[in-house]
Amino acid sequence: MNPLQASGIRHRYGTFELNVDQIELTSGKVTCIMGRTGSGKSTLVRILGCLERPQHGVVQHAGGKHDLVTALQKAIMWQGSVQENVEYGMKVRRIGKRQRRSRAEDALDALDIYELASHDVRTLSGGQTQKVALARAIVLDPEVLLLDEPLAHIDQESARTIATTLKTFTSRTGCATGWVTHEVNEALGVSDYLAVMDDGRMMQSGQTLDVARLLGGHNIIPAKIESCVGGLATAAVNDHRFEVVTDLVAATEVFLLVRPEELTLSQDQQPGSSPRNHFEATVTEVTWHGAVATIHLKNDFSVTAVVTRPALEELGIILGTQLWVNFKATATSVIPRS
Amino acid sequence: MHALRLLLDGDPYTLEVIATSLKISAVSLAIAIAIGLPLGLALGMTRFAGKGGFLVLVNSAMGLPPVVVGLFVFMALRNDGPFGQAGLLFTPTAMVIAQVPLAVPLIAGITMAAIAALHPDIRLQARGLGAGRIQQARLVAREARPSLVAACIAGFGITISEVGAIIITGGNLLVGGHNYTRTMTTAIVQETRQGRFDRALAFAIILLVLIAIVNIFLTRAQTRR
Repeated sequence: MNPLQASGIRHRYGTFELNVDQIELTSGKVTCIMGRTGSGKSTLVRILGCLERPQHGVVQHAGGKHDLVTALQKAIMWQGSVQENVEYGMKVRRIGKRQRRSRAEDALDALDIYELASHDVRTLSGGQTQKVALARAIVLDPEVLLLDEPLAHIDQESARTIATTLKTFTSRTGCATGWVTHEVNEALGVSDYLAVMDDGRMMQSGQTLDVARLLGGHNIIPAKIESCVGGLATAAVNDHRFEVVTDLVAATEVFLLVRPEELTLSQDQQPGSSPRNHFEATVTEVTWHGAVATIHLKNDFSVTAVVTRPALEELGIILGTQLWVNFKATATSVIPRS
Repeated sequence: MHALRLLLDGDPYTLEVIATSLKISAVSLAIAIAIGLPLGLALGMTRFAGKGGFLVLVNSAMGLPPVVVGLFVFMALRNDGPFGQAGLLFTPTAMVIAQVPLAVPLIAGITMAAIAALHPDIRLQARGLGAGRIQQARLVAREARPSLVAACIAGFGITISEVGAIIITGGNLLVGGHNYTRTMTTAIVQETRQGRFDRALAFAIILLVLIAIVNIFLTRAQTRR
């Protein structure tokens, strides 16, 4: 049995109705609950975290209430130091002072905020506060960890570090992590399982890649990480080398996910431009959708791009045209193939 | 100067009046805090049907006229009243009974307002980290501590400076040459009526100094981390 599963959840407030037939969190895996603002993600997390009782349906979790930890979207701090805040959950669990201190220090260290331990929480920035909230949650080493928008208010660099920390924490401790986000790239980048919500309903759920395929709209390119330094990696796709943002180690088999809107087309390679990745491909198909055309291109792998009519005319695109395809390292989501 | 002389000379009457004032005020305040703080916390933290009516009741009770409360307590404790047999009228206990209903709504009302000013999800987050109901209440009280101390300061203010209710229920009595139910406030009334203005002024100054001293301690507790 998975450590947390819920079924038949129906919950209405005002005109909004949450309607989720089935969701479960798996040990050692990150399950992302993704959806637009107002799609019901946060309500679902509160219900899964037993913070709100659903009007209908059942939430089952294997452990006791202390094995289930929820970090709300707004990182609410209590008065006092960072260390005191991180120790709060352990104090509630009546864990001894010495152990509290040592575990809090480890958690702060993992989130790279060890030096803030003695700081008053009121002096922290939004990003630092968010990190403290996460440290306060992971320090409890729970069986189920629910995180509502954990990377909100955090700069890109820190977000990457935190995502890696939380992923590592999940797989190392066997914790079942539920992760709410409205960012597609964040969801694709961190999740093993993905549940997509819209208007209170679960639209798709399953393994991340399967859901990404089902949802469509992404170019999915099999690749292998060749090297990784400081969060910037080189991924090999046959003879091509692409720069991507990930902490995955060399030799990891991955899929690169790039949205068609993120691909730009040009007649030349355009060195010196901000997109770090370029490859040459041949147009194999052009489909019109009003003023926008979907262009299918083929090298030794296929991709799809979208362009407007003026752009298409300017580039002289017809079947068989050779073009350069460009995309930014930051526009690419990297999902381990395993 | 006269006030200082009364204190420094160890005037027994003055010291007895001060002691009675502090004793009655302390007991009333302790009981009012014991009732008012949990009541305010409970009202601030819970949702139940009819809560709005309850809040109106508490807020209205904050403006209770002391003489009216004194009159009700007097009626209840007089010989032919419902609690007349207890023989409490014109005793310090009767004065405490009259003061508690004045201080409780004030303490509960300020506590309630303090809880309402906290982030609405503070308890939810504590619960998300595994805190039980009592642990959540303790956290909320800790977060609202400055306001809760303010509630206690307000409670102390009303119990130490109250005169209308306690003069009715206590009677402002000296028994066998010793003070029994006379406090500094009722003594000020008494001395003023009898034209001993210097003594009345002396009590007034002592009362103000005592209030200042107690509030210094309470304010330190309020601002301490």
